[in-house]
Amino acid sequence: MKARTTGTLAVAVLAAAGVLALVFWRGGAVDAAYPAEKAARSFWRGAAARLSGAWRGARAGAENVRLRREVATLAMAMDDLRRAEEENDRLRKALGYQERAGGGWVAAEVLSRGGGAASTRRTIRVGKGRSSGVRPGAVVRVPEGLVGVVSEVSAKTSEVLLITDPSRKVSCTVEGDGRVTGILCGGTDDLLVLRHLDARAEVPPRSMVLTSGLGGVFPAGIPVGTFVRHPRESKTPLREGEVLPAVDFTALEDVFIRSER
Amino acid sequence: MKGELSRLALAAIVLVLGAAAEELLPKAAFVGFPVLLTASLFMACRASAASAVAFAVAAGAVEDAICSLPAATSVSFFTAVAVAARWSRVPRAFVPVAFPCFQLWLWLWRPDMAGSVFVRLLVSVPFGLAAAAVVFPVLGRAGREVAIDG
Repeated sequence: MKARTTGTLAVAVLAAAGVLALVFWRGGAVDAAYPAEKAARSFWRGAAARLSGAWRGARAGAENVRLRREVATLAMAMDDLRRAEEENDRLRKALGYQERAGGGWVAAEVLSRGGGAASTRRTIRVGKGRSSGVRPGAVVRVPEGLVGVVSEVSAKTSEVLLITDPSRKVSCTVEGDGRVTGILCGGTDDLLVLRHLDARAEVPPRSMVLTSGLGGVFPAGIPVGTFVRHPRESKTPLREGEVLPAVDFTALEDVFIRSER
Repeated sequence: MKGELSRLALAAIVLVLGAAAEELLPKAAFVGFPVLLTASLFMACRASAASAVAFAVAAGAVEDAICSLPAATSVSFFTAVAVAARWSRVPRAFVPVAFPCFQLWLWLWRPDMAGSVFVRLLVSVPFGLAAAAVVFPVLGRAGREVAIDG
């Protein structure tokens, strides 16, 4: 009887410790779900790849050869870039310029969109975290353009706040004759809103919108989208425009995170 | 003691799989299937008061973590719903209303949340009912295996 009471008490203490751990160690809760998420994601991706491979047959083989050549070409280009970067660093040092931030890009698989059942922000969860050198505030992009910024990090995963979320402001420049700047204030997956544009500036439609580098979060020159139009002309000297995103946020499969390593 | 350990293991499995399912299952208007909230309602209907409250706190903590909500946002709501359902005469009446109420609760804390609150309210009713239609029978079956009733 006494042993049974002690056992029950031990289980109760274990349960209480588990509940407290979940309450105070948020990353632990997220990482606990990670293997199941990763397994499900890998299963569906693998099945889709096999199906598509079977469907495309010989064309897949030809594409494989073409991609191998492309990888070899890119490896050589990378080598040239590395040499140019070393030279750049030497010259910056000689001129007494501030050293550029180090680190590289970490490829991460998109695990899911928008948190759990009641997400309040436009986010995605990716399968790289603190153990891969990812830190909160790191820039996330794909070759086509800017995706967002890392908002929370656990050991194995990170949550990325997308630039479509209204709480994420991005200082941008619109390419054109003059330097027109604005603040990107979120939007939808299909259309972003660029505010605080100077009404006197002429922005030709289909101009490229890039990050300006002001604000210190995003480096300058990352494509954000294409300027579409001024939806409403206001009497104030500042107005807003609409931007077609460079990135298809609904079809993100892999992203690249700026890591400190 | 073996029974208690089995119940604890079941609770841990439900939390992990529930969190993974919430992240992976499709969403509409930023609303997904409330697996964890439904599981804590199930526990409120079937388990002992202490187990139900402990599970609600744990499920709320997991929900806060995966949704990046401010600490205790879901914990407080899940616990309040579990307590209310536990002592209600018709605990199952909470199933269709709990998830829409959770949307309102989130809106109180984050008025600038993604998506329209009215659309979220509308979408949350069928999503909550669909989650209950799956979670209640599955947990009922698993609960019988480990004698969850208290």
